Amino acid sequence: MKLVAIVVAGLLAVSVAVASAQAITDAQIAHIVVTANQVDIDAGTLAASKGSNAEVKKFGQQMVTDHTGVNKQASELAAKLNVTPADNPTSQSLKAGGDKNVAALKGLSGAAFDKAYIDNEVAYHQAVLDAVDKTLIPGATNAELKALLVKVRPAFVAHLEHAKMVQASLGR
Amino acid sequence: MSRRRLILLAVALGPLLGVLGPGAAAPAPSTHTVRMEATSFQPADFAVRVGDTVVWRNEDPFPHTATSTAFDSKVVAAGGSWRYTPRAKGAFDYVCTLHPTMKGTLRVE
Repeated sequence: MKLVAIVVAGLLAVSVAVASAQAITDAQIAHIVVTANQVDIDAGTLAASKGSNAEVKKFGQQMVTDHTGVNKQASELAAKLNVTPADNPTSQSLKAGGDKNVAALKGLSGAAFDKAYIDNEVAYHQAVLDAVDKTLIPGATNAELKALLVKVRPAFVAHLEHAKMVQASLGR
Repeated sequence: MSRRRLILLAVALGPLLGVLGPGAAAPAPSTHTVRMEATSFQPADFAVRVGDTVVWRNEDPFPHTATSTAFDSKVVAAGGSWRYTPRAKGAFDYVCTLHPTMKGTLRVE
């Protein structure tokens, strides 16, 4: 619970940072997308190896596969559009929150690890969806970048539902 | 209408009537594509005939499956595809086992 509180607090800070920005650029959006995916890849990598429940391990591995695929496509689009992803406070908060999460998870094991990982996945995907809807899609100027975000969004919804299913199964 | 025109008309319509007539054979099996895109099946509800082939083409940057009680593609990699030729009639609801929000129905008529 404490871990989730830390991560959610971090994400709230992210939305505040984004809201206070005058206008978000496509280069910043590209960086946020890549960072958000990488944060979930890092946690998934850990869960795939350290998780004890088979569904948790499988979910972690799938997060690695799916978010790596999205990042590959995002990086290819950025290269095609000649956009160099630009670091920004939102990316930095995401990265810091992700690092904190992974550090805390490393201190856990067994059922406690599984629960902390999946609780965070539920909160994280919900927060990322909010950012996609409120900040990234409305803020994207380039049509192809906007289209990529729209096309990828349903995957995050599926991940959120899937994470909730795994979360519910752990409670049984 | 002159006799010559009637003959021309018969020549023109003959093959067409042959195809559409009651004695015509069933249409040849065809191939249909269902795209796995934006974490959805497009079209999600799809009708084919027994013997037709359905190709699921994964246009997302990550894997999907098309899984029902009657068929299972297993993992279809990004950019990959899987084909299936139904041999029995029925309506088959299917899902992507990796993305529980992704659902489709294949109707075999």
